[in-house]
Amino acid sequence: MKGEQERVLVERAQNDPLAFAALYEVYVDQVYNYVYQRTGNHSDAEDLTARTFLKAFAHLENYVFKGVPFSAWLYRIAHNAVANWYRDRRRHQVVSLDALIAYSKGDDKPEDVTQAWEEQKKLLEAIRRLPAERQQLLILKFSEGLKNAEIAQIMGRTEGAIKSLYHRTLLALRRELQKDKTS
Amino acid sequence: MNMEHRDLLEVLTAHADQLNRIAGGDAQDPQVPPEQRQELRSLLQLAEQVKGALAPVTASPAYKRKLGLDLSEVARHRRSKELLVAPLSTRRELLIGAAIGSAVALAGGIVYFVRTHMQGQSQHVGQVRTQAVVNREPA
Repeated sequence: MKGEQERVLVERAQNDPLAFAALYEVYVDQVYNYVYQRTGNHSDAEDLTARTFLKAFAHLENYVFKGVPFSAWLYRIAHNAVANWYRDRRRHQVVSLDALIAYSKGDDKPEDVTQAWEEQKKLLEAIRRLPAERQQLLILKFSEGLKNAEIAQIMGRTEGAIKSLYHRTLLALRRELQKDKTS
Repeated sequence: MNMEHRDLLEVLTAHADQLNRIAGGDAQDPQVPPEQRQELRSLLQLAEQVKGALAPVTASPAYKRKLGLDLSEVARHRRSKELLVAPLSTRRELLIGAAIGSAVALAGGIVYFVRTHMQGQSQHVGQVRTQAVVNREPA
């Protein structure tokens, strides 16, 4: 969504609470996907998506359009909601069957599927052992398909810092996978 | 940051962007020196695996509809509360306006009274002085 269109929608919602529905329609899939990738199951993703939008609605009057897209503000709320949720409940990220089913392809042989699932499970486990900000970067880049400039706005960093973080994240992930292989 | 490292970051970024455009895309790495190519290839492969593992998902339509309705309900509730609060604040503004108006009118009255009172006094003094001068003149 273009900045100007987004600004108009946000201003409308700030003046009329019922107009928040338009913002919800635009961003619900992005927020849901982000939260799902962080938690690994649909049930928790539903809970945290609802919390994210309720919080955004409650604090909408505090949002001031200063060049940072509304989506960036929303992602920050979602990121904090996930962080609080893990902290409060001391949960550990898991790789659910949902994630594995989503990955499998219908025309594969059963033994190939099993092996692919196993590799997929290890990769997802390794991703979820990374620090939260590195997971956030990988999800925003690969699942949400955002560019470094957009990710930089969401994460409050420079584009150059995101490039470096991406490189360090891949190195760390490779180390994690190698650790798995040796253990 | 040295030149080679910067080139590596650029290639990784370009590759990730390309992966987002075309699934399974292959990055070009003309600037990376041969000794780093092996390292780069390993990272590019890993990036492709990550891209595959983090395939986007969407919420079920029933969930989206339900959450949309819940949010609309909250919004309607807030709007009705705002409508209740609005007349109260308007009434308060009217009271403040009336108080300021009264104060201004009162101040105006006081100024008028003081000025007319002082003018009356100075006229009286002038008349007394004129009378004294007239009385002093010889017939």
